[in-house]
Amino acid sequence: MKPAPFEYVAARSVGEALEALDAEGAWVLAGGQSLLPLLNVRSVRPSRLVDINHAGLGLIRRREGVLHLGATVRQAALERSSLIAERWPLLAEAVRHVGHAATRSRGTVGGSVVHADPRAQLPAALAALDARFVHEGRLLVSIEVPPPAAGARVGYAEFARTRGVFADAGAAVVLAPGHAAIALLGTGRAARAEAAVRAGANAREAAALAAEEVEGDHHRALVADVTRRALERAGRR
Amino acid sequence: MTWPEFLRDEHGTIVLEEIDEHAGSATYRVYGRRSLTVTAAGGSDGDVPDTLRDALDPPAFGRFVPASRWT
Repeated sequence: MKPAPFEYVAARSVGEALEALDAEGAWVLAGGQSLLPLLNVRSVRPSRLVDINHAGLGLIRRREGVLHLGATVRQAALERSSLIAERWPLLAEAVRHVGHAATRSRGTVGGSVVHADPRAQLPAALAALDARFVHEGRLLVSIEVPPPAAGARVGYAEFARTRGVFADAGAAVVLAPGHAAIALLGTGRAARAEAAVRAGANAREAAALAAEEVEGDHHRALVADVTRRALERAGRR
Repeated sequence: MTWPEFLRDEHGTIVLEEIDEHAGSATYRVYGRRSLTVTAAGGSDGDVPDTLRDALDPPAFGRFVPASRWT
């Protein structure tokens, strides 16, 4: 199948994008790795697509210690960035699990966040990093990630049936003295497990608490396993 | 330092991908090749670093300087 007819607007700035989005049935087009398949099977039928790929939102910037990710930063750019690898290694680790090299070359960080598939890796990693999402009107323009705490260690682990497919379970972890953040794919932060880690629980004990955030024996077993592995990678035994 | 977003001629494009204000450096993507990082070395705002100019108009190595030659 092919998409239902729509109007295409290429925005050259955030202002142009916002103006074009001010219409019934207008959707944002970023990397298109999720949206285009949905268009092709006509699961969605926007009347207008507003392409923001040339709206000046494609920059990675560290300013006053904070990481600013423009909404159209490619997942591949995140993956190859030495700044990200050095200062925000959780993002570098998580993004390597997103799709395939070809999809990461077009797929955007903002698109992954806005599409919000419950099995997507980047929203979980960003949740663990206490990221802030900056909007102008209906448009996500950037993601701000605070500097890592002194002595922070991170870990990401997931279970996927084959490489490149959406994971059945995944966990992103940030540990620092007096600080624990555990984010699960699909359910977000696991507050009870975090509190247990801060109180001195080991990886297996905290993972068991994280598993209580989901339903079903099989899913719980997977979440316990990936959370334990992520915690161990972050240095918790 | 204001980094140019694009450097483009008929042979290709170099696109600004990352700015690290703490380190005073910027990383550009030379399409079809690889990324390169340049550091601001004085000059007024808006100046294009010589290394970037050279990437589009290298004296001896073809249109693009091999990334291995960049510092």
